[in-house]
Amino acid sequence: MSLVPFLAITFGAAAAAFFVRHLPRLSLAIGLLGLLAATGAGLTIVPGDNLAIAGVRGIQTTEFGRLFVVLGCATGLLTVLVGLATAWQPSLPAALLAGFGALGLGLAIGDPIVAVLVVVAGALVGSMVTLARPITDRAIGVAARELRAIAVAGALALLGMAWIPRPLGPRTLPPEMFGLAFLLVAVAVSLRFGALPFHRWAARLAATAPEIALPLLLVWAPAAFAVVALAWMDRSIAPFLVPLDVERGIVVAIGAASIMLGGAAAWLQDDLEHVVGYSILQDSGFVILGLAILDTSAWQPTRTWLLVFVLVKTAFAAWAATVRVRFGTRQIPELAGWARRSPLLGAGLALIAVSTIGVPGLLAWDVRDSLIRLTLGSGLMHALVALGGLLSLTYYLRLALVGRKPASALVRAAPGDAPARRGHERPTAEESPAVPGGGYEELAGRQPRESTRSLARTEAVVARTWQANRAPIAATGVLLLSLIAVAAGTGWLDLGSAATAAAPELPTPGGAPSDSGGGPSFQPIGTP
Amino acid sequence: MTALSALVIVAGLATVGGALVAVTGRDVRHALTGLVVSMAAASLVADPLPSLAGIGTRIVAVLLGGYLLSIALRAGSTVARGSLAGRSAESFAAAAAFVVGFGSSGLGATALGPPVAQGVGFALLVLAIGPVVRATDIYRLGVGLALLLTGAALVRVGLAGTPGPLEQLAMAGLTVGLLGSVAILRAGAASASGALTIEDGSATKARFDAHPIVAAETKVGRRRSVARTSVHPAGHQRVNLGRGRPTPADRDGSDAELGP
Repeated sequence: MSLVPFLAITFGAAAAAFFVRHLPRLSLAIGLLGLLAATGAGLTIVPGDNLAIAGVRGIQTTEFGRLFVVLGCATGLLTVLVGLATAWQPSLPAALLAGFGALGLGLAIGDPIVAVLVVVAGALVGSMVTLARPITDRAIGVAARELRAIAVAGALALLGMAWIPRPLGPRTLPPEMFGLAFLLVAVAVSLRFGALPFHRWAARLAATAPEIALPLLLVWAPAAFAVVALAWMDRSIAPFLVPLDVERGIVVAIGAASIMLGGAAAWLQDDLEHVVGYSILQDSGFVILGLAILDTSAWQPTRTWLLVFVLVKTAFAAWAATVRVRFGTRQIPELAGWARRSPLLGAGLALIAVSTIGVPGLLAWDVRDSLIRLTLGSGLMHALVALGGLLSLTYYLRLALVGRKPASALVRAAPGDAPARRGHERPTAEESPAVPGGGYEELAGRQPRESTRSLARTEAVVARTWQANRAPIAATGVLLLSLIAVAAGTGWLDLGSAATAAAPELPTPGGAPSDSGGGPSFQPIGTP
Repeated sequence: MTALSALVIVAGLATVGGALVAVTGRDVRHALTGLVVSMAAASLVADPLPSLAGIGTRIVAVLLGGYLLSIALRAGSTVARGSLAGRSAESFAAAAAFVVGFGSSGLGATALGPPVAQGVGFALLVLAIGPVVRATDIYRLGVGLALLLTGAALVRVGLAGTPGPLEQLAMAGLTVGLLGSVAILRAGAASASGALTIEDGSATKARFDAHPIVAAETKVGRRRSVARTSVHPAGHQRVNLGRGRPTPADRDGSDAELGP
């Protein structure tokens, strides 16, 4: 079973990194190697593989799940590198590994109820990365709110999915039941993303949590939740063609409001972290629109947008973290001239903007337009929501224009993108580096040997070089993330084929999956 | 009445009783015991019973999660707020919810599980509402969330039948994850403020508004900068999220809150 190595690496490395957290460099090394190995293990996942647990076939890998975890681990690795060069969170690698392990497992489970349980469990554990040291009352309060949102969303989804057990057909159930079950699950996804009107906890989380942790907390975990919900709706609601106009209208209203008001809120914010948070909220509105379509035509654009969404927002959060640490402020008015000081970051922002919105003909633009058209048709509402989606341009342009202004004092004092020569130009970063100089023996208080002394000298040179070049390293990491995002947003990464790939086999209620005898018996979503 | 039905009923009573103690207990140790009993007994509320391995997995997970939480509870006060409504009111509410859940078994369709499961699930959901919505106490919030998920799982059992081994395993993982997360938060709260209670800051500080801003000098970190604060017409200062730098009071967590 090709998923097993991936799970073993992610959970094993996460546990190892956690248990040796008192040795920061060893924990970091385990985390980095774990993410690298997980990326490789993800590439070896074979779509269609089955795994039986206790004689029950309930786990089946898919192309979409494979792409999700590979992209997640790869961008997670880059995120950790950016975090190392900016604001380091010691628990980040372990949280990423455990999170992606759980998400990968959840996406391979055919039973949506079990998948929801696994995804929620992974999100709960991963959310502890919110607690950045020193721990304050405010951080505890925000983490508690996040815990509450995750658990409540999970409970709502559990109730909604349990309400429509298969293989009951529409003749045995009144239509209202389908509507209520659909609404419960859709609201659960909206709550999980922090969409309007459930955005308060997400806004506070964006303000308090480390920016580098926001992708895992507000993007990747909710995206996996949405994938499971979409698969359930496609199997349990859509095929019965029950008229759910009121319920769909509510969900469409949530999605449209998130798109329009989220974009406006992001534009009005002066705080970079809030801009990132509200931009995540805005783009999650398209996912919620996809849930309201209730047709097989929704499968590809929604899942494609989910992949673009996670990559773009990861890059944007990394960009915001780098800017904040580089220039010592997260207030936009004080960042005048940032793009002049760091062309790499300027290029990164431009790529992020292109991959978010795109132009007609590119993947990002086309899937966003498809989702709006499939839910709202081609009338006035389509135009309004489409314009709302374009509000992303306002905050990207605002950031760009601020960047083109004459540099402020803060920006002038910040390091540039040019690599520093060893021993020269120390960056004025707020946080202490995660890579201290000195060898283990010196740290342990023992008298080092000659060979160890030379190793220690080498380590010290590497540490000083790293310290002196954190700014360009972080900017390069952001640029790489942006390039991945633009590859997804422009369609260069073939996300469409993965997005149309079949969902895992769904067992019958009561825990016993249908035994097809020879080979999978499911019908791929999206095929007539 | 068969032996299995009697077992299910007894397990249901233990589940609700334990949940009542967890929600209304004023000693965190008693409340934790009630929570563990409730979650462990919930694994037996199914007809047919799950496999022994599944039951064992759930119970072990509950015990592990409870142990993690007990470690976190060693530091700090053992006094919990309990329920402001009182044990009697909570009991009656749980009983009423049980009757509603039992009577509406299947929720409009044929139920694949025992009605007792849905009734007990409804009772737990009602008991969980207060701690989840209005908790200002990390531990109490954790108890509420645990009961919420356990109640939802029981309703699922009542609607869709006995969970399979994979679902039992997933539920066990979720139990450990949730209780472990609450333990981490509890330990963090103890190190931050030394108590379970989190300060309930002013909601207006976090509200986005467009009040006129008044520039005031404050020293933040190593730099002297202009902090923008908005002046409420009543004369109270508060900070706009979108129109200025948060004051140091915001950064030190004095405005943390859990209310809706």
